[in-house]
Amino acid sequence: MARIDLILKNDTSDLGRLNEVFNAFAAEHAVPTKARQQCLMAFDDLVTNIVHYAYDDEDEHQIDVTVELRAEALHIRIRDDGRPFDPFSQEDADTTLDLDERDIGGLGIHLVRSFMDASEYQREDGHNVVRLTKNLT
Amino acid sequence: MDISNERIGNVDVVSIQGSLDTNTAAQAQGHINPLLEQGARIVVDFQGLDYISSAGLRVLLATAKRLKKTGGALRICNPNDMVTEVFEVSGFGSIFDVYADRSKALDGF
Repeated sequence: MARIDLILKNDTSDLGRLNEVFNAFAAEHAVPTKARQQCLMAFDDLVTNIVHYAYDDEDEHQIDVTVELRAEALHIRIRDDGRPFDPFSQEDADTTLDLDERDIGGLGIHLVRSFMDASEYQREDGHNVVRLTKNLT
Repeated sequence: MDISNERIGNVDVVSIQGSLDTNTAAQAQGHINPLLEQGARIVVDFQGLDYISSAGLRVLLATAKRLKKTGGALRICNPNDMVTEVFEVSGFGSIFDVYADRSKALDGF
């Protein structure tokens, strides 16, 4: 089965490694361009949220990222051991405000939810687990 | 990410290629900031930009806000399908002037 298993450190600079591995995977398995780009965006927004907000200490933590290609869909799982937090419980960003009132808060999650075909959160065994599905057909 | 700029008439055109995300946003902002003088006209050309995340949108928003304060203006051109859809879903399409290509963005600017 086509699969990526990657352990990232809680450091956004490690996102570059995920991008490289995922881009190679996407090329090998002919993932359509826009789906690939939308997944990269989702990785960036979700992992950055975890790195910045999940931890109460300065220690090194692991963020597990798995991607499976099956049944013509990408199944993504991002798992961290930070404090319980459901990213999808945030209020949606207000996308109608004008320039002066606009900020970026909540926008990343709004984009992830819009571009993925399914996005869900669960707290499992002391870990936050986000599961995304991106259909490729 | 590769970023460069050139002066065309009274407009600074900033070309951003690769990815505009958490790890490149600071570099992009640092490159753009010195251009934001009084009344500056900036075109951001996304030809060759693969994808943008909310960290990249933050750069555009901060740039547009600063330009508005100083009587300048921002135009964006050459977004790919992914970037276009991000603008639609985020509502940025209605607060930014987006053009299909560079010559249209420069026209009358």
